[in-house]
Amino acid sequence: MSISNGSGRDEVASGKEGRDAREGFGGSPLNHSRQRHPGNHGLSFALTTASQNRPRSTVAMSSNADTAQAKSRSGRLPRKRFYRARAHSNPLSDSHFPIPISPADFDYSHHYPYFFPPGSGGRSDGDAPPRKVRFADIGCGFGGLLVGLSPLFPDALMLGMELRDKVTEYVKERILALRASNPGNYENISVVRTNSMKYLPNYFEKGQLSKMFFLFPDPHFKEKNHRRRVISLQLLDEYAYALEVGGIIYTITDVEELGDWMRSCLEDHPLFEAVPEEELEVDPVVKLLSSATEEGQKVARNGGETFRAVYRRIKLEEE
Amino acid sequence: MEESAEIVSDGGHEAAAAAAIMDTENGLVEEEKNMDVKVAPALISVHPFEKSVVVAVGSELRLFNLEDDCSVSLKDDSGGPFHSDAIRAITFGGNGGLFVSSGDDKLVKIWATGSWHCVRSVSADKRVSAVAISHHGKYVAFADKFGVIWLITLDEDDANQSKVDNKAVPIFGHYCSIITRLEFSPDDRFIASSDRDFKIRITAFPKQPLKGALEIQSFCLGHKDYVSCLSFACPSGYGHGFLFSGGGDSTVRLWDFFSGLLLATSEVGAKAELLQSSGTKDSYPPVTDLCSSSDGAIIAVAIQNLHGIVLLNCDFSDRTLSVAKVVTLEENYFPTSLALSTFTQRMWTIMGASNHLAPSTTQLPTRIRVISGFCKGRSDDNGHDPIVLEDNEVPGGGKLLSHLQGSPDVTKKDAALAAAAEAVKLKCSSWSSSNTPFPATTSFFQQALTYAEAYFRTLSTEWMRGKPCVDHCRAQDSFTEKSGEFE
Repeated sequence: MSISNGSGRDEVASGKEGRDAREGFGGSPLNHSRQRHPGNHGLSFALTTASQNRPRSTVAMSSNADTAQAKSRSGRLPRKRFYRARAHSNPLSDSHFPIPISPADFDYSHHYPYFFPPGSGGRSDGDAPPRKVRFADIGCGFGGLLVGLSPLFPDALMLGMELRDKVTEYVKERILALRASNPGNYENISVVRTNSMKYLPNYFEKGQLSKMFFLFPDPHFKEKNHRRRVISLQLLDEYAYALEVGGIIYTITDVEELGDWMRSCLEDHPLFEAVPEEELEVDPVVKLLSSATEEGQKVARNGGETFRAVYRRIKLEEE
Repeated sequence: MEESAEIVSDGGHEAAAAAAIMDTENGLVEEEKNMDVKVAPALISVHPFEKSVVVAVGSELRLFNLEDDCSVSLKDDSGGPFHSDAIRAITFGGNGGLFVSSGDDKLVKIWATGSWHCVRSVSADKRVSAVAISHHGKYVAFADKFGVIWLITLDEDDANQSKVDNKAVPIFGHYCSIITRLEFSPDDRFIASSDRDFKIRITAFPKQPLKGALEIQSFCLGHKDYVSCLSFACPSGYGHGFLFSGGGDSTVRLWDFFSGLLLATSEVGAKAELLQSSGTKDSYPPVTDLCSSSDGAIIAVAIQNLHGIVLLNCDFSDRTLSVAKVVTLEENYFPTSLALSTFTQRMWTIMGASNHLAPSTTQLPTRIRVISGFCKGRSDDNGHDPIVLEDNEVPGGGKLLSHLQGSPDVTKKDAALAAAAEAVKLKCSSWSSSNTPFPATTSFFQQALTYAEAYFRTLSTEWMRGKPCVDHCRAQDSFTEKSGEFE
């Protein structure tokens, strides 16, 4: 229930521009501002690139007489250029997408049909306790980490959370395409469009997660915007709630200031302790932090430096 | 190749986004001016042993001492100013030894209830939306409009060194959500905070809370709209006890707050047959206030549009919550706030609201009704019906009412009431569109009613509403967006 079904898909297939005006984030700024600021330079450039792409996409799609969904089902990967989105999204704004009332309300059979076949009533095999999401990738972007992690932990369900509508749509198509071309694989990853800073407890029960990822988050440089950062002392309370004791939180960024900030937040929080360097060296996940994501590859290509902070959820000592 | 195109277009999007944001913010300033956001409900709070009753309406605190049978004017020793803007939250605490008031003027004032001196006045960064006092009386917690919960420590010898450590310390927060209520659990081991994003968070209250209360015990999730009120109940033999909550979805819910498990839901709005049609959608009005006795034997609920209160019956072993009785008061009496004296088991209700349109010199009218006769064996049904006290039966009598209600006329209200009720019905229909100040002849009761109406109207349009799963309205989006970023 958490995926807004098909809206982004229609857009691509038919090139209907009117549609995204009603969508929350994603496409709306384009249409929106076109009417209001016709003279803006950077903007008109963005418009040209967008409008150049659009007809082409329409042609490509219609010549195939096929929807994007069918394409991804047939295993062809979606192309990023058709899922352009703003680099930033305001996490403070109210959201207009469906959110589960509570974790019990989260529709597993929709996200992981292989593990929760229809008719199983959302429960996995018989007596075993129902399988739950174990890894959360907060701000999963284009989903590179999920795709990289999936074969490493084939039995662990992973959920990407992304605020930008179009990006979520891309990841969804990407996963469907991967599943179609690699039967039996990539069944353990899925994505939801949500604001994890506000609604994390609606998705995960206490101690449900064993790993959380915060890769290349929005730096929010201005001091007055620091409260929009995805790692903060306040929010770490909620992450500690969702993580099991011993669970690990992985953060990485190419912005030194943000790296320092994330590290000091984690350092100051009594429910987290740093994972020793020796352990990181043998953790296969750590290598993926900088290599698997699109953002990480971009940084590596440009020869940039990355700043990593990996911390473990610990139990609070009784005083 | 594809990459470079993307970077450029991203830049373009950024510019567009920035422009769009500026635009909505400009539009917003105007929008906000038109909203009646300053209307605040009248609040009532009663000392646990009914030694005194306090009413807050607008920026005014009215106090009546029932022990000495006299009205008391509050004295402020702390040097700070009195409240200068709407009071949003008041409460007794520390077994009745303390009282705290706070609101839109960003001042948290802590009063010693013996002398009624203000022992502490702490200024907050943002407007305050909720306050709570720990039961042992050592801490005062308050929440601001950014969703941050702050703590003030009160020491025994506070009178001597109050100025030294006059700062509040942030202890935890809800991410950018307005906190609607704060409550300490009966054993002070937990603090419950509810917000407009449907959430109730139960946080372990540590022994050294100034270092932060970071361990979340549970989230109570189930409300489908904002949560407006919380009340703990601790019947003996049930461990940590239970939590009741009421909300914009017109329900009262019973929680095992230790695990966050929803035990029972009562659709009180539907049970009280308060269906309201707005446009195409039928809905039930929100629960505005709730209070319960500590053993859970009395649970009273105020609902918008209900001229009375709903009494609930909770069977803790069966985990059921049902409507026991609807106590109706006179037509047009819609309580905005409830308070229960645990000792005398009398329920105090008030109707009224502040109105920024009224000149500040006039006393804001309120109306108080008291309900008595709750018996321990109420669940046995019948015979023990709660009674609504007549004005002359109210503790403190006319003296109390004239002080707390703001006008001596109101005590002789019966005739005026009938006329007022009639007039108000006509008035209310036109009131919703016009903003004309009250005519001078309006009776106080009528004014109180109209203020309350205005309050309820704002309540349903204000920031508490307009949440996810409702509809995709751009204008609403930008309005609520602003509310998350309150100045």
